[in-house]
Amino acid sequence: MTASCRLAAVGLACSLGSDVDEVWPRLRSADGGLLTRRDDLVKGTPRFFGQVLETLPEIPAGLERYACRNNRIAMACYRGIEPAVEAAIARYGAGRVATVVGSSTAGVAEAEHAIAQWRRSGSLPARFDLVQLEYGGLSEFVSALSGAAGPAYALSTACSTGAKTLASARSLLELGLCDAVIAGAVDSLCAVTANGFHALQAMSAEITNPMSQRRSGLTLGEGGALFLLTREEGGIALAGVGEASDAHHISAPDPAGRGAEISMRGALADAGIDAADIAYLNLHGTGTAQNDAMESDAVARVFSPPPPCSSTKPLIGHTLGASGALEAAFCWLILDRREGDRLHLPPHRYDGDYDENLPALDLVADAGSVAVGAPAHVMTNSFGFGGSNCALVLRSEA
Amino acid sequence: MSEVVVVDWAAWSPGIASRRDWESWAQDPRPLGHEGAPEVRFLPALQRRRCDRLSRMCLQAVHDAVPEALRGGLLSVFASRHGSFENMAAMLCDLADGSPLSPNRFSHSVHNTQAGLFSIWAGNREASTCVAAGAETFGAGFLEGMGMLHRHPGAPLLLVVGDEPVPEPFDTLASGTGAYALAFLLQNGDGDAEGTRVGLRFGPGEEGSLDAFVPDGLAFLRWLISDQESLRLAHPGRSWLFARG
Repeated sequence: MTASCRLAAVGLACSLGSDVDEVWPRLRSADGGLLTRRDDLVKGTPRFFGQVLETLPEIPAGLERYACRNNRIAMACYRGIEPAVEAAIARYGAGRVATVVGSSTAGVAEAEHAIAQWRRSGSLPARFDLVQLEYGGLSEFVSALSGAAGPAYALSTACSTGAKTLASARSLLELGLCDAVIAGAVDSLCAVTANGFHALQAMSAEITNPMSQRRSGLTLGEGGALFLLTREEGGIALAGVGEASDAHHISAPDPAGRGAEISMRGALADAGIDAADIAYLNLHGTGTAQNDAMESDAVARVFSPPPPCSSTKPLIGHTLGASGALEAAFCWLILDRREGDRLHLPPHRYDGDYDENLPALDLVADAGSVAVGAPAHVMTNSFGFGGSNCALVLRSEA
Repeated sequence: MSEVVVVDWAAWSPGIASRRDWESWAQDPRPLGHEGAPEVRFLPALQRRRCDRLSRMCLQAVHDAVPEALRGGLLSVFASRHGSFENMAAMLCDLADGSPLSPNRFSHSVHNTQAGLFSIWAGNREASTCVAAGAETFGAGFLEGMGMLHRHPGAPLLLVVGDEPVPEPFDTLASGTGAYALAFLLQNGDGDAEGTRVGLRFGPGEEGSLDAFVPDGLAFLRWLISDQESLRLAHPGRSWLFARG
């Protein structure tokens, strides 16, 4: 069994907004009206994108070499945990606060502009720095921004990245190598990922429609979430982690969903609970034919009956590496905004035409809620390229 | 201090492949080569064709470090500063030229490409993760390995560290280490595994005084096969202090 690991603070940014009080009502009502239609990322092919709509903070003086949109989104997320990080540094010392953050894009968008200029003029823009394109540039930046001076590194395992940063952060706490960890993930829209998924024929022409018989692919998004994890008791805890590899294909999930199933069972066992204890499951739910078939099968094998579940990707898009962190932040909010014995749940926003070839899931309807005891548990799934799977269980005591 | 046991290792760089090659390199380190890739004949032909050079180097080192019977049951951490950068750079050029992206190249550009290819080749369904941390990438991979051994007790862990020269035009912005991959087989220090027990702690940072052409992973390998008691890898933010247990 694992020691207590508290998700002491959270900050986030996505198309629904960039602080928890702005995001929560839009999440609860499954506000899908904030996606943006753009035809500049895949030239001449309009697609919906979940975009961070606020004007992002400017990179502080002295950190100009890290100036990319991805790091500015990280700054927007960081605002939500800044007071808690400052308190942790004051309490434990800066060297005892570690940073484990991740991304699948880092500053690719800036590298796209840099290469385009190089092709035209033979030289890279003076403001471009290779550190913007390095995943480790994100951990360096967050560490410098926060003043956390403990070990700092980045994870990048495609779409499971964000979930896995929380798993790693908890291990560092349990090993006693630090007393608090900044963890989470950030991704930003760029032409590489949009054109890459377009080349894989994985992007939906309409807003993604997970679990529908008419689903036709994913909608991309950007954003992030950062947490401060501590060893303190109480509050909302990271109670369980399950991880597995598919051993199947570099970009398609194992149709049998074995890695997904191992991850969910592993997270339940790690949390020391039964499947019936899960009050809500945030699906990976990308809206691709393969993911939804594999995931619904795996959920039906692990849970009987399946808990209330929804994909929040029709609201914010698939934020790739950030999705595991953002969706964990949504789970955190669900537990944080508990009213008495009820959790309010984000509805599954789709065309309502469930794919009857899939096992039945209890998709959350409008104004959905569920009765819980104390403690309450929720789960979130993340599955990525390379067959990288991670499931997390969050717990609130009351 | 947390400890792990280094049970075995192997490494590949152009012209330096056998254990004897590495032992003589460790006596007199010279800059690593930039050209060439291992043949990886042990891979099925289709998979071999899809492997970029970093993947070939990493899988060769894994093949040489770990017997086949163990490969399916290993936890794994893959650490690389730049990952499959050649695929990324080629996609950036394609976009600048208005060319469509290759789905295969896109699929093999993620930072966990080598981890995914290893999982497929070895039939490995265990937990795996991928790390990057600039010049401190090796230490971060080692630390992540300690964490993973802690949260999945019992299984041995494969730590793979590799990078290759950054391609044009980004090469002008990068420190020019050559091409290499290292694979270490690690066990949790709580058990009675045979090998070199290694502990890790942190010290204050300082400006680097290490040989610029010896990346941290290879400095660690040099130390591992030496008779020195401890190793200090100094970076501006912190020093990584490794000691024999």
